[in-house]
Amino acid sequence: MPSSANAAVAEPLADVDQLYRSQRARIVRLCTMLLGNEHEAEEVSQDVFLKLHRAFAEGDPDSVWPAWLTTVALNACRDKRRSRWFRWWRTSDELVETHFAAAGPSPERAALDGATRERIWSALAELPARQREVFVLRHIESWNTAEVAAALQLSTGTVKRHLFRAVQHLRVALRDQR
Amino acid sequence: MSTCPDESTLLAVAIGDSDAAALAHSAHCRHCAARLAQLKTDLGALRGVLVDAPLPPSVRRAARRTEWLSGLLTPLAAVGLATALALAVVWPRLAPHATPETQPQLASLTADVTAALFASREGVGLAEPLSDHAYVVAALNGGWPCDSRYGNACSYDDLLDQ
Repeated sequence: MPSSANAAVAEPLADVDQLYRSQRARIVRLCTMLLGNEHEAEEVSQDVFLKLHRAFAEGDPDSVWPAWLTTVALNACRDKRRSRWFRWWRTSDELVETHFAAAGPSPERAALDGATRERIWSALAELPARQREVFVLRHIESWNTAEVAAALQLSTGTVKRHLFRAVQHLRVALRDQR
Repeated sequence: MSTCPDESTLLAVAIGDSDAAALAHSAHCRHCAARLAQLKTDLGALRGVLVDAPLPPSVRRAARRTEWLSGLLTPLAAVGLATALALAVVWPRLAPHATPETQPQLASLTADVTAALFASREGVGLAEPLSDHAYVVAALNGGWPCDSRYGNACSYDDLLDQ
C-alpha cells in the first residue's frame, strides 16, 4: 500500500505531466514571440516547467496554472532579453526574407504566405519589448486589459496605447506587399 | 463634424474594450463597420501567423546560428585557457635565463653579432673602435654610434659625407 506521502507526491506529478503536455507548445510559442528565437524559447520553456514542478511540489492550490505559466514565462523571457549576451546576439541577427508562392487574396491567406510571415515576425521583433509583451498578453493570450496592466505594472491607459502602437506596426507589415 | 471613432477607439471596439457609444456607432455606420471588419480580419491574420502558422526560416535560422556559435565558443574558450596556463606556468621554466655561468657566452655572442652587423671597410681603419655596447645600442636605435673621431657622425650617411 503506498504511503500517504508517496500518494501526495504522485498526484501533483500527474498534474504536472498533464500540464506539461497541454501547455508546452503554447509556452514555447509565447517565448518565441517574446524572444524571436525558437532555440532560446525552448531553453526558457524548460526553465519555466522546472519552476512549475517546484511550485507544484510546494503546493499552491489557488494557482491558475496556465496563467501562472504565462506570467513565469513572461518574466523568464524578460530576464533572458536583459542578458548582455542575448542583446548582442539579437542586434547582430539579420532577417532574410524567403519568398514563397503567392497565396490567395484574403489577409488570412496572405498571412500564410512565407514572405508575409517573415515580415510579421520581423515586425514583432522590431517592437519595443513592452509593446510586444502587451500585444502578446492582450491579443494572443486574450488577457483583459486590467490583467495585462496588473501583470506588467502599467496603467490600463498605457496598456491601450502600447497595444494600439503594436497593432499599427504589425498591420503595416501585414499590408506591406514589397 | 464626423463622429466616426479614431483608430484607437476602433481597436478598443474590436477587442471588446470600447464603450457603448463607439460600439453602437460602429454597428450603424457603414464606413466604420467596414473599417472594423478590416481591423478584425487583420487581427485574425496576425494571430494566425504568430500562433498557428509554421515559424519563418529567420526565427528557426536564429536557432541554428546559436548552436553553431555556442559550439564554437566552448572549444575556443578551452584553447584560450590552456594557452594562458602554458604561458603562466610552463614558459617561465623553459625560457632561457642569463646566469653568471652564461654571461661570458652572451658577451661573446654579442661581440660576434656586433662584428657581423657593423663589419665594413670603414670600420677596419678605426684605431680605437667604440665599445660593442655602443654599437649595439646604436643599432637598436636604428642608427650609427656617434664617434668623435669622425666629426661626431651619427649615421651611415654622415660617415659617407666625411
